[in-house]
Amino acid sequence: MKITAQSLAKNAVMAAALAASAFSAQAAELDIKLYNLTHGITFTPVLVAAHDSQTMLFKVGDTASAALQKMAEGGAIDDLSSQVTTAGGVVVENPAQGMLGAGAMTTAMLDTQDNMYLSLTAMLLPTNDGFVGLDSWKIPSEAGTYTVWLNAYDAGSEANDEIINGGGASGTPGIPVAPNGDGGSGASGVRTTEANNMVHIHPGNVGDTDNAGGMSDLDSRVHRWLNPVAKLVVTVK
Amino acid sequence: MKTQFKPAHSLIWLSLIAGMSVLSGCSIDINSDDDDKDDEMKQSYHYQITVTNLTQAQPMSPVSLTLHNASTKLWMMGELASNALEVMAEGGDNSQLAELPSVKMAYSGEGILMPGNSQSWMIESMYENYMHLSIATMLVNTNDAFTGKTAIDLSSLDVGMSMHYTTMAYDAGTEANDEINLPGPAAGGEGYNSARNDVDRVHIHPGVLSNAELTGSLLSPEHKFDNPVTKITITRMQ
Repeated sequence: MKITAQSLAKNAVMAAALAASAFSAQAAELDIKLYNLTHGITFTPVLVAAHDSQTMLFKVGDTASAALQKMAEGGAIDDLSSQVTTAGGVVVENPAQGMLGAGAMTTAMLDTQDNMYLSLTAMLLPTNDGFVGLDSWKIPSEAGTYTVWLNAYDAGSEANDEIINGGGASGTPGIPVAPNGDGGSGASGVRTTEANNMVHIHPGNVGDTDNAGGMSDLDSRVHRWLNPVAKLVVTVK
Repeated sequence: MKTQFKPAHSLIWLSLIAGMSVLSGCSIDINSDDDDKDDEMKQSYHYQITVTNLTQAQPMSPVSLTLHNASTKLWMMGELASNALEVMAEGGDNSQLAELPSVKMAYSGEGILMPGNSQSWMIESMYENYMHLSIATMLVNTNDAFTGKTAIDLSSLDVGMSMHYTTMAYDAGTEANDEINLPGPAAGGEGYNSARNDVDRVHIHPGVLSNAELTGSLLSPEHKFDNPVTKITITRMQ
């Protein structure tokens, strides 16, 4: 199509009209339930985001953004959240008002406005840079209740040394905390480097049964998991 | 996106897709002597296939892409692995899968698909009765783990539309998981061995233990994996 000043202006008016109708047509009210399915892993404050097709919280096979790294290594969702809202998305921050423990469930309500995709992240504790994630799930236009199973991802930004040392800042080795007080101390470390620095499926915690040494501060009987690690139930009203 | 195809019954080299891994694939029309009337070329269908390795440290053998008839599955849960599948699952060699009688067109990635990386190929289907796609690759730092998706029906996919899959790690059941006889870089050991010394049925892989838990294992904890292990996107281009 040849674009002239006149047709551009006309198109702009049409686009505005279309956008307005699209807004009313696509806006969805969501009721969301998130279940932590793990044996002994805690979710840090959850970020739920509705956004357009150009925005994402993370993508497998890509390197982690600084904002994702901050969430995955330390649980802080503020930068990820502001990236979404700056791009016109809407968010629910921290619906559980703190940690979401193993076996627990939290709820959220979200008016998606004209955003068609849903994403979610929360750090997994105790891990170095593990997180539960949903990447750009297309929100159904038909009213109903939908169940999505969520996997554990590794941000690829920090080696999984499995040493609990309080390290939660980006680039600082170590695990911030074992929230249930079931971690050990004095571990030598599972590993110090990792070749794969892309976001990928988490290989899982290794752990050991020595809470005062060994190679891991994690308990292999408590801190392991297999996917899926969470169930998300979304009701489109 | 430019892809060159020569007529059927010849070796076809496929162009790379800009921005993807620097790897190409080749296609061989295997059963060129067939005079089956079903083989008549009616229309040419083009697909872009992208496979992403989601594991932490399991390189994957050159990816096998085969087009075959609707009644073929390259593997079935609970059933014996074929010799062709065993050869790929134990040693990463996909050439025998390409030679299966039911396979009409076979493509192979040229190199290892590294963890965290993606590779893409353009494939062409020219035969209406060979519109089922199987994708298979070995997790090379294992005894006989493989992954993929078998018998994906491409015939109902419209131009411009995509299909998305994530895949599980399977155990071919043909070789005991001693974590020693591994062809991958973690060990550089034995690949294919015709002896079958495991449960002899395809099943969901139980995962690897590593030297943290198995004395003598040549794997370290980074080689552990959980499902899914790949992500596959198929887009019909024309």
